[in-house]
Amino acid sequence: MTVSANKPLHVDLRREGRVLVIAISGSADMFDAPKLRDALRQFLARSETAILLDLTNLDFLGPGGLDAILSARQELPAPRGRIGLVNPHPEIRRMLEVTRLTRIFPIYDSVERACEALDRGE
Amino acid sequence: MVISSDLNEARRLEERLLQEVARFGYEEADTFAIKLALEEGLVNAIKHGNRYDRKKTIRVTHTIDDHRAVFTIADEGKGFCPAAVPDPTSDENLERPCGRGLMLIRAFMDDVSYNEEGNEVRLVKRKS
Repeated sequence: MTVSANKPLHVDLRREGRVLVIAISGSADMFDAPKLRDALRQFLARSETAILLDLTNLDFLGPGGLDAILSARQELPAPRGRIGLVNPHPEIRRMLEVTRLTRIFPIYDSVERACEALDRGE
Repeated sequence: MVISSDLNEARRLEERLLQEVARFGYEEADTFAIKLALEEGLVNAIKHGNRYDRKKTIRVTHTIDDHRAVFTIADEGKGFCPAAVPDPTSDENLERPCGRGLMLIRAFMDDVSYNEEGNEVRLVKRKS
């Protein structure tokens, strides 16, 4: 993890069974938060119901990036839509715990386990 | 240092400050906290303080050594009352964008304080 270097934000898409996996990598800082919000909205407009945000290679998530993920959640077809997070870096996990956003976004330790749980509707 | 109310300038300044933090060998967790706090402080100053008015400036001071990093960020706005910011962790506010950044910098930094007007924040991180 190299927080001090502003790595470019990348958002990539893949599918694992019925789960849409969105891998966010680089740094989601103040500058890139709108880009992240737009990318997530675009993907979530596909009426997906089970989304996994793969944060394995995300080095930094600022408050703006966190808000982008939250606002993307509102695009999901409620109440069936679910978003899970996998492999956040320890400091990002701490952010989610401090803000109690773990109540909204379940956190998983592996893509496989996350996809199983989301597929079951957990 | 003085910058205009511009996110590009803020980012360049943040990068310079983080390079200085790196020179003193702060750990990743400390650097993460400082980056988080600088970002929140600068964005608040631009957005809420100066309301994106490029004629208004933001003053930033810093002192970084082997023991701690101290920053102040001051804008030209009217200021705010930190105590009046709603609790972002209450169930009704959980998904609202207000107050989360302030709460995060308080959790990640060792000391966060404001001047009386509420338009200057002082951020302190002790080296782990």
